[in-house]
Amino acid sequence: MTAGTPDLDQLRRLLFGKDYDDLLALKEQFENSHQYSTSVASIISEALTLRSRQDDSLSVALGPMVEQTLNRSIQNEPKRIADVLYPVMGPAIRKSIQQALNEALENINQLLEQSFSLRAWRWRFDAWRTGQSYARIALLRTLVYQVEQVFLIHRDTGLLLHHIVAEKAISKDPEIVSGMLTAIQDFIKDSFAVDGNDTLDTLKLGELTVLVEYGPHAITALVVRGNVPGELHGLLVETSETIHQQYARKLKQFNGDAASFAELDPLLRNCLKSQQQAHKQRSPWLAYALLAGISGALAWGTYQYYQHQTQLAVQKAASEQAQQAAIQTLQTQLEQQKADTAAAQVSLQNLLSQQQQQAEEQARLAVANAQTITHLSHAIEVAQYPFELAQADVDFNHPLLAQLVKNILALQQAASRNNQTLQVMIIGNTDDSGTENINQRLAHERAHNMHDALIRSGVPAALLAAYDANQPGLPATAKKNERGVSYMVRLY
Amino acid sequence: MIQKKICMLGAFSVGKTSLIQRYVSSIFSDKYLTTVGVKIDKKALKFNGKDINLMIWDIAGEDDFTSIRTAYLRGMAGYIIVIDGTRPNTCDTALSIHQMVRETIGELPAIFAINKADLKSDWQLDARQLNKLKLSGCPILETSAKHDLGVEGMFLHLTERMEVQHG
Ligand SMILES: Nc1nc2c(ncn2[C@@H]2O[C@H](COP(=O)(O)OP(=O)(O)O)[C@@H](O)[C@H]2O)c(=O)[nH]1
Ligand SMILES: [Mg+2]
Repeated sequence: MTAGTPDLDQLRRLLFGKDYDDLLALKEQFENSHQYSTSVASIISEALTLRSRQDDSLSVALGPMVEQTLNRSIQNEPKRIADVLYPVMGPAIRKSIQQALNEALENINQLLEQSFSLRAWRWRFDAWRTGQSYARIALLRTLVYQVEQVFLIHRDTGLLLHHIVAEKAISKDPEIVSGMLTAIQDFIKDSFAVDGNDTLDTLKLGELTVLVEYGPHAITALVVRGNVPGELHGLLVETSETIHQQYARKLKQFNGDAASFAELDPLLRNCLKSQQQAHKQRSPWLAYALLAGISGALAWGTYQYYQHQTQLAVQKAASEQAQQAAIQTLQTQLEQQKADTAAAQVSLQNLLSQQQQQAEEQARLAVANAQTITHLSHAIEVAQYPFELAQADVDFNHPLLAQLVKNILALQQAASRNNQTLQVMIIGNTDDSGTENINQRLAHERAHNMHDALIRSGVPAALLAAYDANQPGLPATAKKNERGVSYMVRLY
Repeated sequence: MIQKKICMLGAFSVGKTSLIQRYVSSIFSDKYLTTVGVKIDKKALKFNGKDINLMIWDIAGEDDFTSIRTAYLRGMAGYIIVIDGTRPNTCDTALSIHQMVRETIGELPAIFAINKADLKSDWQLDARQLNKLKLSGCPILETSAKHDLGVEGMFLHLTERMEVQHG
């Protein structure tokens, strides 16, 4: 609605009168951000409260923001958050650990007791006899008390608003029971004409007790099996009060639709308390014994293990040492072997060189021998014994003979060193003087005489052979024109 | 799921318990009736697509020696008053009960059931009595618990009237 010409403005005022000013004021309020903030500020918390009562949309909308803010503040200053949470978290953690331990211990104990005891067999028999599960029988027999059912009943109509049953408990038509509970209450009141404010708060039937708390609009009832502990009454009253605080209006307006009371489930479920005998009557010694046994076994096992470990370590060290020693010996052996090999190599080389030397020596010797042989052979072949003219006698004491014998023997030695056999041919010669017959006889005699003389002087007969110069088969070189004998050396 | 408490009222031995037994499969024994004066049964039914649990309170009959415990009527959404057609005085009792309920509890959907319709030839209700019933403005139905006549219809009729009233 914009301001137009004065005429139009006047027309508007005529048409709307005082409402128009209000409208303008309202418009001003929306357009001026400060004014708008102020007016919103005055109702914002009430608006939030109202909306949160209607539905969950506020928590859905605010959830992410709160989360983000929390995240940021934790990131910025984690210690502060830790400090804030410490007194809450510490005991909570300790308590939950304690509780978990206790429960575990209790469960183990129960299990042990139930498996070993005579009572357990009686329970099994009872279970078989009554057709109920063993678990249920065991539970019922060991229970100090258990809240089996929780009823929330609309007081006027006796209609059931909410109902909870404990695990393993049996519940028959809770709607009917809740009606009967209110009816019985009325019956007692009518029959015994008790004071209007007095209510029947406990019903007992065998081991079952019904604790009833009458609120102005609702009845809260606990069905308890076993010996009811005092604190259960307190819990029941508190629960009833809480329900009446939060649901007074809904209880008053109840017309048969109990759906919205399902929200009370956690509160009512909190009343499902129970206590077992094992916990109250004695400490779980069986569990403790088992625990002690286990920890003993563990300790022993650990000790054994460490013992074994150290033994192993010692063994290992020893074996390592032995190994090292072995390695060392091996190494020294190896080194020795290496040295030996080197030495062997050296000696081999020595040997080789020796051999070489020997070979060389032999070669040298052979050469020397060959030289000796040549030398001696020559010396023998050039030797001339001066026979007298027309004479064939040999003077045994002639130094030439001795020299010849010496040379033949030396040559024989050298030849044998050379693996050869020596033969010295003695050939008788004559000069041209004299007749051929005489010369023939003379040559023959001279050769034989020399042959005999050499044998007599110590030359082995096998080495010598005497020939006439004209004897057929002799080489032409053997025939010499001289008075005496010539020698031809042959080596085989 | 909607729960409704309804009461079966009427003189002694008109057939209240028999009618309920026809309609529901009972889990509790009748002995409560004689000791406590009330017995409650449940009937689950569907009406106009709605799940409804009828909690039916069988209330011990009124006779010369006992009177109805009005405390039991508290919170009911409707009631059926049963008359034995063969016994005219049960009709007078019915009318007086109706009067009493209107005074102590208030106006509620109600039905008159003239039971033992299988013995209709023996019925002894006169025109004056029937007229008084009609004047109450409540539906008057004939039933037989013995032959299962009009029993379910009677409970449905009451349910319908309760639903109309409460929406
Ligand atoms: N012939 C006949 N007898 C009935 C009928 N309903 C109940 N009865 C009988 O009437 C007697 C009383 O019935 P009961 O249900 O106990 O009446 P209540 O006292 O009102 O609960 C019993 O003997 C029933 O067998 C019916 O429809 N026809
Ligand atoms: Mg009866």
